[in-house]
Amino acid sequence: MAKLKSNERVDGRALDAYREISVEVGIIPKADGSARVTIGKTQAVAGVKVTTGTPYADTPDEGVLTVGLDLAPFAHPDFQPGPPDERAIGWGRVVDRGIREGKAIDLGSLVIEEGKKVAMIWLDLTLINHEGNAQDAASLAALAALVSTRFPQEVAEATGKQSLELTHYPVSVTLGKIGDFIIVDPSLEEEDYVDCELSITSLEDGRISSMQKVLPGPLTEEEILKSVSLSKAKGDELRDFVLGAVKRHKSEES
Amino acid sequence: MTKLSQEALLTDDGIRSDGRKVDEARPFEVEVGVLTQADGSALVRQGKNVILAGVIGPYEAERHSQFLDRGVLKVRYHMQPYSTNERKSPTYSRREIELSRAIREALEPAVILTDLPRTQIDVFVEVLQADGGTRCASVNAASVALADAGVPMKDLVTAVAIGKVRDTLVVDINDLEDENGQADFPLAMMPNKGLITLLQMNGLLDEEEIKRSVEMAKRVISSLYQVQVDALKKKYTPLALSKEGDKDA
Repeated sequence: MAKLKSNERVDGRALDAYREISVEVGIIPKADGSARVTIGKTQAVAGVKVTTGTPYADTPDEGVLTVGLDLAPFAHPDFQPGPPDERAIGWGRVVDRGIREGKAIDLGSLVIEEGKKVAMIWLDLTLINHEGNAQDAASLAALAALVSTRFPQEVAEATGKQSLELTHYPVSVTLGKIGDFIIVDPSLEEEDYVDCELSITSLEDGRISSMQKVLPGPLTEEEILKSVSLSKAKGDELRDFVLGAVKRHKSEES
Repeated sequence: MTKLSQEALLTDDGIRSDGRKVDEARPFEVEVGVLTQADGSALVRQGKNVILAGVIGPYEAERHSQFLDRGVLKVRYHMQPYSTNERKSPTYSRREIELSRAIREALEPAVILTDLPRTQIDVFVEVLQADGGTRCASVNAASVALADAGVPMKDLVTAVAIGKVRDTLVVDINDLEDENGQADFPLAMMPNKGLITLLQMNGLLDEEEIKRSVEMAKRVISSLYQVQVDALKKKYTPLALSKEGDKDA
């Protein structure tokens, strides 16, 4: 707390500074799109598989997007094998909503034959090392994997497209409230002290596609508005970084 | 179900699909103490939502789950299969797990758990009929049920969902607006403290719309809060008076 007052955190970061981030794309050749993202020592892997299948009855004119998030049992001593707990479900659903509500994937463009056959995007996330802010690591890994997704031959032939085209680029920025301070990218150590966290997903055009407060500490109106604005600025930095990494990967590939 | 157009959700004259104005909340009714076996209970009708909250406790928690310095609050949000247009599968869903957590964390700041060491409080929320904004109506029911159970609290918790239809912000969204609208932005507050305890948003809003939504939510919440307080007073004022009466007699 005393340190926070002088705009410095336990690990020496400024209140609005992320830990070092790295993005590796195409790490799983058997997946149609994949990425590993590290934020500090937190690591998340994303894999995308694309198949064809039947659309949902209530959305015959849309492809299908399914997002899952799994906690590897070795990622943290508290994690147990088995069905996802409320934390895993929460992280997965925030990634899902950021993409879906942000209309990052034009599901209408994935229709092969209306009501009968559509492309299905399966985005699976694995948290492999949890050292704080799993939410943003998962979100960035998801973005990097989706942007680098190339359709398998069967899907490419059926849709006439070679790769998944994103219409927007959602990025989650997680903020923590500690006393009167708002920090970004809480580390595991800081997560023990935060009153609450707020994950805000923004798009490249500045709109917000998802917000989620977790943990019981309350927020003032002012803190929410400040967080929204900070999340946009930080989101822009993260987005440029991830898209840059994917671009470099693609140019190396070709 | 076919998608409704934005024009169907809001007419040129600013009238919504259920006849409301953009800043008009749905009818809101609260009944306190509707159950006898639960320690506290409330039935909330918010629009067509019918939501029953029952509180069991505080009771001594199992050894392995007790804390020496505070009580534990648990919340289970559950939708009945008959509560929705299409029958809801009775399997407990990821959505229900997520909402249980959101509701618990919305209520927890208001409950003085440090006054209740070693105990557990269970809040069970049953959605009997769902009509958009069920998590908010659940918070509204649960906080009254906690008060009815005599749990020490700093404030009630009151919630409403703001939405966006036809590029216009609207308060207290119903089912149709939730499913076909452009945003769903539920907020819960401790009204007397002016603090926000639940905040989620799905959809697309810009920074200015978020600011305006919070303002709109605050206004609705203060009127819903008054209904919660009146319902509690309705049950407890006669009891208090009759006690006074007994003393006099």
